[in-house]
Amino acid sequence: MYWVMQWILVMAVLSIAEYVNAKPYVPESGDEIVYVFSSSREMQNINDLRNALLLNPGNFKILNKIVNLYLKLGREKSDPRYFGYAEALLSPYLINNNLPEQSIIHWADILQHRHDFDQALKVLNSLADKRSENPQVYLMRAIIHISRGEYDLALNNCKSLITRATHLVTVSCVAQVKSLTGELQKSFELLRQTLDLSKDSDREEKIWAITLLGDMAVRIGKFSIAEKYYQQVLMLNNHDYYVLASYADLLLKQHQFDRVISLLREFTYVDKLLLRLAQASFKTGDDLSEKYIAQLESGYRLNELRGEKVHLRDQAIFYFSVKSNLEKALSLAKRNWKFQKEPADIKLLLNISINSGNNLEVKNVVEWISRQLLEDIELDSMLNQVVSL
Amino acid sequence: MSKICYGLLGFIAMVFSGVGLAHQSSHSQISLQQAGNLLEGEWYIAIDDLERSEGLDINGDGELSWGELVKKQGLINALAKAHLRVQQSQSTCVLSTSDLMLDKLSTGLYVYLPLKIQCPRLIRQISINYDFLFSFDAQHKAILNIKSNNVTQSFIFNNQKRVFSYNSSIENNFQTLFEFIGQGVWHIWIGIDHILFLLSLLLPAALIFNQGAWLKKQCLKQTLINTTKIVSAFTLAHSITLALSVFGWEFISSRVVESVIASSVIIAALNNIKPVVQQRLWLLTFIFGLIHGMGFASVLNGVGLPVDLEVLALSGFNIGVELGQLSIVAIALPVIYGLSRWSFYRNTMLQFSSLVIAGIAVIWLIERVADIEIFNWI
Repeated sequence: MYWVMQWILVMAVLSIAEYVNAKPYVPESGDEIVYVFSSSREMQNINDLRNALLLNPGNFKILNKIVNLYLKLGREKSDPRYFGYAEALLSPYLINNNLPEQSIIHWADILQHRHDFDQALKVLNSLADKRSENPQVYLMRAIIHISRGEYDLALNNCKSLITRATHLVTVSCVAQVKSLTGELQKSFELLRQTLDLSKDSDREEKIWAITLLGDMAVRIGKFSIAEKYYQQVLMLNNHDYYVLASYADLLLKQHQFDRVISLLREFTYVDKLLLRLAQASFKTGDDLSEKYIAQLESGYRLNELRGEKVHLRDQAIFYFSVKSNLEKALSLAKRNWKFQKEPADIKLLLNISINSGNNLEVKNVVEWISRQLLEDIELDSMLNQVVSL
Repeated sequence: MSKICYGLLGFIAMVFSGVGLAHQSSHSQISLQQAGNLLEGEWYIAIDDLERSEGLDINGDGELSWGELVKKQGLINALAKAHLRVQQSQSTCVLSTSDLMLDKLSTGLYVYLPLKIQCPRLIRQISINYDFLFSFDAQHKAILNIKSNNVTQSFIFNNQKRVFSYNSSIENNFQTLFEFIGQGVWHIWIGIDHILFLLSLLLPAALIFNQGAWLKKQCLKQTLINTTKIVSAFTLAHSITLALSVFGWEFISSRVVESVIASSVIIAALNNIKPVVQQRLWLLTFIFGLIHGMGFASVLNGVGLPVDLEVLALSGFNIGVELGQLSIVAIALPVIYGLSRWSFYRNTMLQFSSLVIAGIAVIWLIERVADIEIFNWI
C-alpha cells in the first residue's frame, strides 16, 4: 500500500510537467521591473501590527486584529495564503490552549475554510459548551451542519441565534434550513418579507439574505427572479465571489454562455470563477478556453498533491463538464459527498451517474435523498432518470 | 459550502466553498539529482512568499526590480542554508547555492535558486530537514523530488512533517558494485594523464631497441607478453595504493601525487625517444603505478564510499578502472602492432608522438607544481 501511495505521488509530481520543463531566465538589466506586488493599505497596516506584536508578545488584542485582517484579505483577494499566515500566528497559542474566545473563533474559521469540518465543529463545540454569547459560534455550526446535510443540528443552532443575533440573521438561518427540509416556498416568502421589514439592517446581513433568496428562487425554478436577486447583491458588492459563481451557474444552466464570459472575464484569479469561465468558453469555442483549462488542470493537480479537499466539488465539475472524464469526475464527486451534501453536490453526482448510464455508484446517495424532503426543480426529473437506469 | 454571514457589529465575512486556485496556497519546489555523494538541482521559491515573509521590495514602491532582487541573493542563500538541512549519519552535508534566476510558472513568479549539496560519503541514506516559511505560513508545503538512477522519489514537507529520510535507489549490493564499476571506467576514460602514461608505455610494445634503433619484434606472442607485464604491473601497483588510502593510509599530498603522475608521463614518453629502461620497464611501471593509485584514491574519496559496503565499492571501482584500461589497450594495441611494421613509425612517428605526449605532460607538471592554470583542458 505504501508503494502504491509512493507511485501515485511520483506520477502526480511528474505530471506537473511545467516544473520539469521549467525555463529559468535572467532579466536583461537591473532596472527591469520583474514583479508588481498587489500592495494595499491593509498590508502596511498588518506589517505595523506585526511589529507591534513583536514588541508585545502575547497581546491578544493585537493578535486578533492581525488575524482578522488576514482572514478578511484572504477572502477579498481569494488568496488562501492569508489563512496560512493567520494560522501560523495562532499556532503557538493553540498548544497551550490559552486563546481568548475571538481567537478560537478565528481558528475555527480557518479550519472551516479548508473544509476540516470535524475539527472546526470540535473547536466551536468547546465554546458552545461554555454557553458562549457570541452568535458567530452558532452561525458557523449551523452552516457546517447545513452543508453536511445535518438539518436538525443546523436548526438547533439557528434557534440559539434568537437571543444572540438580529432578527434578519436568525430568520435567514432558519429559512435556509427549512428551505431544505420541505418548506422551500414558505421559507422563501418568510425571508422575503423579513428582508422587506429590515430596511435598516447591516449591509452584509442584507447581502446574505438576498443571496439566500436568489439560491431559493433557483431551486423553485424562478430563474428570472433569482437573477434579479443576484444582481442586487452585485450592486452592493461587485466582488462577491459566491454570488458571481451562483449567478454564473444559473446562466450556464440556461446556456447563456456569452453572458457568463462577460460576467467573469475579470475574475480569472478566483478558482471557482475561472472554472465557470472555462465551462462557458469551452461551450462557445472561445480562444481562451484552452488556456483556462490548462490553468485549472495544473492547479487541481497541485491541490491533489497537497492533499487538499477544498476543491473537490469544483474539480469534479471540471472533469465532468470540460474534460468529459466521467470516471474521474465520479470518484471526485463521491469523495466530495463524504464532506458536503448540498443540493449542488447531490445534483452533480446524479448528473454524472445519468451521463455514465450507471446508477450503482450512487445507490446510497439516492437512498439518502429519499429520506429527505429536499425540493429542487431539477431534482425530481434527475432522480427519475437515475432510478430508471 | 454555503455562503454565510457570521457576525455582527461589523464583523461579517463570507465563507466560500473554495478559495483561489489562481491564487495558490504557498508552496516551494525542490528538484535534485543524486550522483555519488552529491545532490544537485534547484529550489523554486515564490516571489510572493519571499516578499511577504522577508520583504524584497527595498524601496517600498510596490514594484520589484531585478536589481532589488539580486541584492537579496545573500539573504536568500542564508535562508536556503538555514532551512534546508541534510544530514548523513553524524555529519552534515554542505549546501551551496549559485546565482539566482527567475521562472514563471502558472502559479506565479518564482525565484530559481541552483543548489548543490555535498555529503561526506556516497549517499545511501540521508535525512532531510525542511522548515522554510512554516513559522510565517502554517499551510506552506514543499515538494521535494530526488532523482537517482532514473528513479524519482518525492516527498512533501508540511508544518507537521518536516523531516524525511531518503534512501538512495541503490538498494542492493549488485547495484552498488555496478555503480562503482561505472565510476571506475568513467574515471580512467576522463583521466587523460593515466591514459597517456599507459599509451607511452604501449607505443613501443611491438618493438625492441637495439644498437640505437627501434626494430620490430619477431612474433606477436612476445608483444602480448610485454603488454601483459606492463598492464599487470600498473594494475597491481595502483590497486595496492588505492586500497591502502581508502582504508585510511595517508600518503603525500594530492598536489605532489599529481605532479609525480605528470612526471611519470614525461619519463615514460622520453624513454621511447632515448630508452634508458628496457628490460625492467614493468618495474618502472609498477613504481609509478603506486603513485597513479594514490591519484585514483583521491577521485574515489571525492565520490565517497558507502560505510557498510566499502570493500564492495572499492572492488567495483578497481574492476571499473581495469575494464576502462583494457578497453583502451584493446583499441590501441592492434593499431600499434599494425603500425610497427612500418619503418616510418619506428623511426619518426613513435618519437614524434612521444615528444608531443612529453610536451603535454611538461605543461601539467608546471601547472601542478606552481598550482596555476596554463590551458583550460576541458
